[in-house]
Amino acid sequence: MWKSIVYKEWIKIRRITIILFILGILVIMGIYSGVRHDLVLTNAELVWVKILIMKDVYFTLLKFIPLIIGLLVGFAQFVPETIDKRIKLTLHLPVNEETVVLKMIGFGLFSLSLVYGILLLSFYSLGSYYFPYEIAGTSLLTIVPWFMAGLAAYFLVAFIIMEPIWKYRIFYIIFGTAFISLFFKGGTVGDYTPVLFTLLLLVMLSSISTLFSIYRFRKGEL
Amino acid sequence: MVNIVECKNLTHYYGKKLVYENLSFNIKKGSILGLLGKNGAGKTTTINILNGFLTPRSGNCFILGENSRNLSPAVKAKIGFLIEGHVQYAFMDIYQIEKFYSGFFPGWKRDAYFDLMSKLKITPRQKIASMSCGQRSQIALGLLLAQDPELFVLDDFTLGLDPGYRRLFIDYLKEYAKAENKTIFTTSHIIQDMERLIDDVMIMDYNRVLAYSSLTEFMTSFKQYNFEVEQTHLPLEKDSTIINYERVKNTVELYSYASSDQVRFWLNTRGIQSKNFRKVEMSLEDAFIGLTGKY
Repeated sequence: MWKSIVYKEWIKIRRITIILFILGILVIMGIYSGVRHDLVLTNAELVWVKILIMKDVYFTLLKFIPLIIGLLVGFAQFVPETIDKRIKLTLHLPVNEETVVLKMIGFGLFSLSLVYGILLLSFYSLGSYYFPYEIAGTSLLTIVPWFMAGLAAYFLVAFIIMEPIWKYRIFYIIFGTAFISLFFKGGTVGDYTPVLFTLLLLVMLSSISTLFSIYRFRKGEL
Repeated sequence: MVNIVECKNLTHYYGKKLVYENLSFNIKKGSILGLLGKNGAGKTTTINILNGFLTPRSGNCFILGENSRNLSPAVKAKIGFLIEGHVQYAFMDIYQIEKFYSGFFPGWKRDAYFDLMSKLKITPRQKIASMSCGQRSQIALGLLLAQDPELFVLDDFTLGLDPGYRRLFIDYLKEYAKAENKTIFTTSHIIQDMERLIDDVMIMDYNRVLAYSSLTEFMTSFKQYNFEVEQTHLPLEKDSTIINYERVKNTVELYSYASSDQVRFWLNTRGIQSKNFRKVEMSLEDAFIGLTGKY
């Protein structure tokens, strides 16, 4: 049963996930080839001052990439379920309704975690190659909220797409946009470090939003 | 005979709009019940209640002994569900979709599915989305046959099908259902082919059930009489004898459960001079239109 669910979800998201993963890797490579260019060919001291003293974020190119990945994977996974109300097919499978949707979400979360994990690792590894541990570590903590935003966006997209009534959808989109913007308020390196745990709690909270869709389904609103 | 489905006093509203009130019906094991009605009469609502997708305002449906509000996975495995328009996971091809569904049903009959697929003229990796409605109907049917459920719930399976595929679908399904003693609940607003399939009929109009009996009983008891009149004003009105009537110029089509003599007597008592009074043979579609009206 798990195998079948994973199989279907993989068919839906495989192309977009692989493409976006490659895009993420290219962006990270682009950031560090820029860093290398600045360090080797321009003024290395200036780079150093900007990062250490001015707390410059040298990796802003990456800022919205995890968000885009989360959004598009969510779209790829859940839009096909709502076309022609195919969600009825999924919910008619001989599995508990909550279980089947949570397994779908679980697979999406696993795929995103894998992609995000590799991207974070790549970012940190390349950072460690060019900079000392302190800079690479702080940079990592700076981009973590962006990846959390990607996860939250994925959960919210699932929730919003499964919502059958447009006026509620619009309300949830406004709420979701405001919620996601919380993850992008910081302007300098390490701004969010003290609140990372709170952000993680918020992401976990957003993960259960899809259960509300199932509740509405049970009430016959789909 | 055992009832596979028992619905008691179903009442449902969409907002303040009443769909129906106190609808009750049973489906016997091995029988095929056709729910016929015009668009918006409540056919899909009934299907949604049966499948647990909709909670009725009041009343209950029991499927294989379980309340449809909370169907267990074990009972859902025994219900084969066809969504209106043969909707399936169109992003898959015929091999992928078979592989997907087979993981959910221990008694999956792979051969039944591929037997039907062998008749389709498609390329091996063609996505379902790029297939014709007729081809999609065969995939949906093949998946149902492979699932081998106790009860088939088919929502308007004729929708979008040309006569050839409609006939193919019905003949294949009927032969299988009768051979395996399966139960079918089907809705349709295209009536012409249903006569070949169903044992029992329930005809719904807005808010109410107009007829519910075996098809044979309905077709023998519900009659159409035609006659000519010259009077410009006819004191015709619907009552317990006259179920419906249509007047086209001087010809009156009158629908009734009453006998020919009873209808003639009814006309005479109201001073209606009928000429060339005759009983007209009806198809199920004629009877449906006679009962529900053309508008």
